[in-house]
Order: sequence, then structure tokens, then C-alpha cells
Amino acid sequence: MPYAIAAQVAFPDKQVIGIVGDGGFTMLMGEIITAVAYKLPIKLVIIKNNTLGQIKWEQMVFQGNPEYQCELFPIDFVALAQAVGAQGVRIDDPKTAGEQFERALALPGPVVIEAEVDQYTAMLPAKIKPEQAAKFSEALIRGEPNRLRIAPTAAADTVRQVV
Amino acid sequence: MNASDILVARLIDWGVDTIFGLPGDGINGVMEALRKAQDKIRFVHVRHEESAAFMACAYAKFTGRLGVCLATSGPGGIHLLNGLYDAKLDQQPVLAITGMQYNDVTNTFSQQDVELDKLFIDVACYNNRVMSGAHMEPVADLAIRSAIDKRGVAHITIPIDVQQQPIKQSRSERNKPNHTSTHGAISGNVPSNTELQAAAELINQGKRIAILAGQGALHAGDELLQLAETLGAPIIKPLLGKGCVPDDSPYTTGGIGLLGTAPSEQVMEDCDTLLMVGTSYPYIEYLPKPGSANACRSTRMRSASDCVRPWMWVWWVIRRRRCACFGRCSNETTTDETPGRRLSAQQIHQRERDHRIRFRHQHHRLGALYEGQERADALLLRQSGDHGLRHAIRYRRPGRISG
Repeated sequence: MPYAIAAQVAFPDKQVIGIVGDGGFTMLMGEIITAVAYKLPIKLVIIKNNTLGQIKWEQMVFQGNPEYQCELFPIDFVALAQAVGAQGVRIDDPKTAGEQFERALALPGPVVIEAEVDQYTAMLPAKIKPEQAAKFSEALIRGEPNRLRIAPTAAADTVRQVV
Repeated sequence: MNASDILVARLIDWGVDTIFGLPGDGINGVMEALRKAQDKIRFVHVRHEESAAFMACAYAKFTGRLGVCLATSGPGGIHLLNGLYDAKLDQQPVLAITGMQYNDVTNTFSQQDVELDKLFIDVACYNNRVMSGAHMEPVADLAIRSAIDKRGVAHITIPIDVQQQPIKQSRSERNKPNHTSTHGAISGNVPSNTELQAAAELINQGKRIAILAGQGALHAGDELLQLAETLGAPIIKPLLGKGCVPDDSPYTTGGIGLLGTAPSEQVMEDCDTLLMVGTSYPYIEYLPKPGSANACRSTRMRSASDCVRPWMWVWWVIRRRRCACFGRCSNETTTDETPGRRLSAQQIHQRERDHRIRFRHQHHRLGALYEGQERADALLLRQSGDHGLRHAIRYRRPGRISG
């Protein structure tokens, strides 16, 4: 978000879109007030999965450990935006996501777009090395708390990629 | 005129018109000078100093000019550090201005008593505590010059009493007024002809050449494409080089790394020569295995890997501002035989398209939504992390994507 604000300060007439995860956004969340105060029409897309996604998958794929302390307490970013004078838009349905996104971009002033995604989709590298696959499996076997949802999602993704 | 007035005057002379920061009792002398000059310098008031430093770094990245941030003594200054390291590691010119408590209570458990010049030693390429009103002008000029020339963080900390000292006060005989200037000559290191020739020979020996193009090549997209065409070499892009050439160009295989593309990894594994352009790409495990390829590096980046990668023939270490020498390099190589192609442009494109089909997670569908809905001149900022990386991979249009 600081990058988006600085970009809009430097180029007031350009469209500025910031893409940020829910973890990164909440670290400097108060700065949305700066965008409102300076009337900077940045559009912030908060990709929300209520988890520190990259860290979670790194714990599993690099170390073979079950995820630990990666969950984020879910908050309502739309309400947050409205509370500080920005507009908030929630996108949670893939069918209407396109139209909603288009409408959100067209809104004046700073807009927070809360875009919900599946937290069980595995972040796997393009070329999965055998040891990475082994670590991933090991993490699931060793008690990954969400394994019953992660394993089917990973399997379905693999099938879809092959098909 | 006091120290703060001369600081602000020098900033204006150097062309600074925007400062990101927060006031506080340790910096209020400078705030008063900024208040008086508010028609010439805009103050962007943030909610946390860390943001101010990130904003200064981003401002430098987007404008190519000096980014400036300001914080008060103690905790305010400490908050800046995260954003300043961003600038240090991405080599952006940023000036940090901080305050300290009164000179005569320093290091005596005074309120907010942190000697910020000591704290900032590691992050700053220029770092100084202003000792008197007369000390301010040369320090300001040298700090700004250093940030721009060395492409790094310059830090000035000024005790609150010094901020309000007249510039004539305690001037020594040796310190002549106005002996520094606000003109900076921008220069970049240019390789000698011998080095350039050696690089060209190395490239010409290559049969399967790959190009790794980072942020130093952002302004040399046309030259990169010309080079790729001449050498038959696919362009691999680390995240900061995302905007070098558009992802739908047949000459690029896209990103590299944990969430890079399979074709990029394949090209890296297959190449016998790697040409690195303006990059300090950190994940060396994705580079060719030691001994398996020759490497040729043109860079404005300054990183440890410039000189300590023993398995590479680093023939050509250039620290450049922009990679304008590319035209010269490709001209040199075309004078000899053009190395054989390993992959045709269509094959590279096909590989990448095949790979994209793999990526049909919900994230990527969402990522695809961005594309085409933003304005042509939109600035896209992405934060690192799972989603930022996914998005950066998915986004294919040319132009500025930064993070």
C-alpha cells in the first residue's frame, strides 16, 4: 500500500492499482487513512485467504512441517474501508467477479477490494522437485491440520492441469 | 537562517518537491522550515514512519528521482528502517532525515535517546550527525549526492538544538561557506573495450544462450528484444524485471524462482551461457549449476554475487545506472557468427502457453481479471507473498509492475 500511495502522489493522473495479501495489508493498515486524507484514488485489491499463504506452503514444501501460526484472524476489510472513509467492495463469487471488479475500478476515490480466494490451494512450484513433493507429503502425514482439505484440492488441481 | 532552513533550501535546490514523514519533538525544527517552504515542498503526512520510508523508495523507483523521508528522534527513526532496507537492497536513492534529542543530553538516558547515526550504519551509504548550524550545508549536499551517485540510502540525523542553530554559529576557519554545490553529474560505469570484447567472445562461443534481465533492464526493452533475436536467446525475468518485455512476447519465458515458469527453469537448466542484465537475482539455486555454463553479467546492481560466485566466469562486471550498453554488446556479437538457436521463438511461446494452462487455480482466474480491465497507463504495485507472486506471474501486459 505505501508503494501505491507513493505512485499516486508521484503521478496523480494515472490509474494506480495495488495488489496485496491480507497479511501484508494489515501490517500497515492504518495507511489507508493517508489515501483517504489526500484524496488519492488508489484501488487496493486485498486478496483474502485469512492465512500467511507463502509461509504456510514454505513450512510444508521446504521443511516438511505442518503449518504453524500462519492463520490470520479474519476481518471485514469492506467495513474497515468504510469506517475510514474509503469505499469497499467484496468479491467472493467467481461468476460475478469480473463485473464487480470492473465496477470497483470505476469508483471514484480510494477503493478497497476484498477478493476472497481458497486458502487450501497449494502454492507449488512450476517444476516440482522430488524432494519438494516428499516434503509436502511428509507435512500432510505429520499432522498438517488442514490436510483433509488440502490433499483433495491439490489432487483436483493436478487432474485439471493434466486434462 | 538556521540549520533547518538551509537543509530545506538545499533540498529545493536539488529538486526535491515531496517529503514523506511524520513530525515529532525531535524533528520539529525541520518541520518549521518545511512549514515556511510549503509552497515549494509538499509534505505527505503518513500514519507510520515505516510507510514513509517505503513511500520514499517507491517514489524513487517510479520517478527515477531522489526519494525523501523524515522521522523524529528515537522510535520514529527506528520505524524507518524497514523501508530503508528496501531502498538499500533494491538500490534506490533515498534520503532519510531524522532528529535526535538535545546535544548535551545525548547518551544519558534522555527521552527518546537513540543515537540514530550509530543505528543506521549498516543501511546507509552516507550517514552523518550534524554537529552545528555551520555543519548542515555541506552535510546536506554530500548526503544527497551520495544517495544519487551510490544509489543507496543517505541518512542525516540532527539534534533538535542544532536544527535551530544559526548557520553562522560555531563555524570553524576551515569550513568556508558555500563550498559545496547542488549539481550532480550522473554517470555510470562503462565497460572498457577489452572487457566488452571479452564478453562478446564469450557470448559468441555460446550455443544455447539464456538472458536473465532484472530491473536494471527496465528501460532497455527494445535492446533486450534485439539481443534475444540476435542470439536466439530466451529472456528470463526475475520479478523486478517483470516489466522489461511483455510476457506475451515470444522472446520471454516469463518469471523464474519458486513460482516462476517451467520453461524458464528448463532454459536455465539447458543453457551453456547465461547473460545477466541489470540483476542481483538472489535465488542462486535457480541459476545454472556450477561448472555447467559460462556467465556474463552486465549490471548496475552491486551485490556480493558480483564477485564471489567462483563457479562462474564473471567476465564483465559493470555497475551501471541503465543498461544502455546493450546496443553495443549486441553489435559486437553480430560481427561474428551468430550462435545456433536451441529454441525457436514459437517454441518458446508454445512452452509458456502450455505452462499457463497448468495454472488454473482460483487465484489465477482472479489474476486474469486484472488484465485488460485496468487503464493502459496504470501503475500496478504488488506486495511480495503468495498472492503477489501469483499475480505477478499471471500478469502479462508490458509496463510498470513494481514491488
